[in-house]
Amino acid sequence: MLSSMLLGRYIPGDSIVHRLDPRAKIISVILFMIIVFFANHWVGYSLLILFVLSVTKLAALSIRFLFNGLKLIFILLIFTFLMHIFLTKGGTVLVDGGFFTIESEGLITGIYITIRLILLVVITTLMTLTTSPIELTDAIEKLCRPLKALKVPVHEIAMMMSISLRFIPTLMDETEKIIKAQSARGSTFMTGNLKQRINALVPIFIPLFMSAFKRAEEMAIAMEVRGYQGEEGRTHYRLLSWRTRDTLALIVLVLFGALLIFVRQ
Amino acid sequence: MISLKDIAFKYRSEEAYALDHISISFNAGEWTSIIGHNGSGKSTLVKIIMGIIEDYEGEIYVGNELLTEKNKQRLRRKFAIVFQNPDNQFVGATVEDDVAFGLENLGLEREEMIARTEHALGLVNMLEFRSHEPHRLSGGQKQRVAIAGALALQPEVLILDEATSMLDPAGRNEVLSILWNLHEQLDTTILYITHDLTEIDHSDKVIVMNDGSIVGEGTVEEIYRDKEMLARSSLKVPYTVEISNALLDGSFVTHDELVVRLL
Amino acid sequence: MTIRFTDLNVIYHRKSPFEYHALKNINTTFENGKFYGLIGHTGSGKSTLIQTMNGLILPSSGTVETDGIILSKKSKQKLIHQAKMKVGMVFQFPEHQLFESTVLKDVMFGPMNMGIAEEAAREKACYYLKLLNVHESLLEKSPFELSGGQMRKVAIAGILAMEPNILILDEPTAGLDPLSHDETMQLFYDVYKEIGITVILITHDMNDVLEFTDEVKVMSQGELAGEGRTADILTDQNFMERYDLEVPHVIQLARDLKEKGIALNGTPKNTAEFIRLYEDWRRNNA
Repeated sequence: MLSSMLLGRYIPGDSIVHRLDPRAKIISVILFMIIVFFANHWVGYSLLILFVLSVTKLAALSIRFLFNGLKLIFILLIFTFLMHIFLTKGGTVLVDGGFFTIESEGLITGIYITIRLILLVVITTLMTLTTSPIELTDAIEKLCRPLKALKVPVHEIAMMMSISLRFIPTLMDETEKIIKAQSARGSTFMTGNLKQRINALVPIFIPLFMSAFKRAEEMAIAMEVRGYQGEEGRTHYRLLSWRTRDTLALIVLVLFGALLIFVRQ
Repeated sequence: MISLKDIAFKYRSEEAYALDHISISFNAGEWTSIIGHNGSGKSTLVKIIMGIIEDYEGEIYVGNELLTEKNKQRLRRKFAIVFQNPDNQFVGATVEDDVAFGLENLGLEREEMIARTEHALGLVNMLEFRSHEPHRLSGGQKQRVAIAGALALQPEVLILDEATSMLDPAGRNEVLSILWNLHEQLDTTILYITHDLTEIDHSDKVIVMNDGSIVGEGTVEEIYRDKEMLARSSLKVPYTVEISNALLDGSFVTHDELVVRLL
Repeated sequence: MTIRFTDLNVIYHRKSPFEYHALKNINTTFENGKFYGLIGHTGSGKSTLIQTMNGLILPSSGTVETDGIILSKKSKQKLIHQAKMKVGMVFQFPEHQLFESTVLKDVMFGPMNMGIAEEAAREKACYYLKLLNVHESLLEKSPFELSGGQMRKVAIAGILAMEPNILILDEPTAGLDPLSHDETMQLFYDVYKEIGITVILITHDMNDVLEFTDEVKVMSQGELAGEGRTADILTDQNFMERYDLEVPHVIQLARDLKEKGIALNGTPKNTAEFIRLYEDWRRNNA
């Protein structure tokens, strides 16, 4: 189940979307989050859906693949849909079930809000699927640079993010090993009341913390002996290069936003 | 070329010396091995050389220069090190990012970084893996990347601190053969720290440590011949030497030499 | 206390692009009271195989019978728990599992999980700590204050104190220096002799396999590539080459000498035996 989840995964590729500057992609996603709210009837929503499908196509990903990977999220979205159907009132009564009614306002809002959420999930997933974690952190570091004036340690935060991302698979493996080792010693995690279950986590968390601290210490030494002293005097191996196509992508998005405002009712 | 004079260090003032006034020197272009069982003081020595421990007694000379507070940053750039745990020294998100990490810290131009990264990855035969992430590599491959990361810094001395002890036999052979190549073809100066006598065969010089002191120093042959010293230092000789001790004159022999001598 | 594998298959991530057939049609038996070696390259399926013995991994099809407990795809937690109590597992770097505030408590953790009363658990803990030469003065110390070698012994005592019928050792000497390696292996062998349980050793060190095990099973790409008496398998030159396995030093040496006309009378298990056999030969051919 988890292995087919697409949330937060990166799929290497060479599509136009892959090659866009990660900063352009982050800005686009933020812009898109705003643009989504411009649509207020079916023409706007159709345009939005068309837009997201085109981006998927451009990213050389199949729609079915995306759909399968996001199934779990969609189940959550169905819940929001049902909430709106039952709780939003107004318009004509479509179904009268006695203790509940479904009214036209509710149905329409439900559909629109669900579409909006689906589109947001898909567009963010498209970004993470086409951008490697290291590019994302680099882009975040660059985009947040102005915050430095406010004494926000932007470089340090980005470095922390990138090392954390790098260690996720290692620590996942480690957690699995420790769970197996303790479970082989008869530790049970699935039975008992809440207190017992929390207690059962101690034999897992303490070794995990011990090892994480040890790793952190060794990592710090390894970084130091390779000359790391923070941001000062540091150059970058990875170069983010903003090209015409990145500017164009943003222009297209802004125009698309304008179009949505134009078709508003 | 590099010499340590009368180095001493205690972790806590009430404890015994972890390093008890030792002096070592080693030469450019040579492979020097430091061997000792776990806890003999080898790692402390490395920490002092690398500047991880700074409050030691004694003097370190690099060339003719005494290492001081002022010049330590410049002088320590002459050393690069590979540690034991392959996972805990992989900083970058991918192989090439990791090799470039030290170069970024030096503030090099991008073209220079790319050239050095590619060259270093070529030396350890990892160029084709340049865009791989660490969790897709074996332990031996990760250590080869770590060696590339050290070589990219163009150090005068490459230090390996038990760099093979967490690897399986395949990974260990991979790493050792890369090092032998580097040493033989490029004259890389190597300081090889290990607890395993079977790994020192290619050394020009061997230093044996026990309880924070140097108890033996010489060629591979000379070290193997000093059986008492090795036994006192809780070190185990390779099977060839064990058999040579029992059946021949106790000299250091390779497997093939042993076969010939036993005929 | 035999372990019997019948048509065992393990498939990870079924019906996904990551599907991986880790074990293919394994049919074999580990018999009571023997010391087994389980060998094969990294990724050959050794670790998966041992983890099916106590239900850490359940079969995708087929069964694993451990001392009368039959585990299959649909086994319930309770049955799995029973299997866990029969099998003691020393994982690679076992010291990474320590977590209690004192050495003694950590060793008591396993026995107490089995439902053994505190007093009895303490007794067992003390007995096995002593068997492994962990000094009494360390019992009330935090396991994290000990040296690496001592931590490992404590972790191993924690497994032995559960008094399993089957002891599985997954590269138990990884990272140890050669002398501690020999000492630890000897310790396991002594424990094996003393308690008389079934031991399964997973290792890359063919010299250990030769010296300590009675029988070996060889895994390759998820399949059982071969099994038999240790000396038979390790001296089978074709087999060892086919599966790219390292030949133990003394066997290589004996073989090289044989090619040159010196045939030793028997297969040496270790260097000392080789020396003895060679001296015998020299005496007979003087």
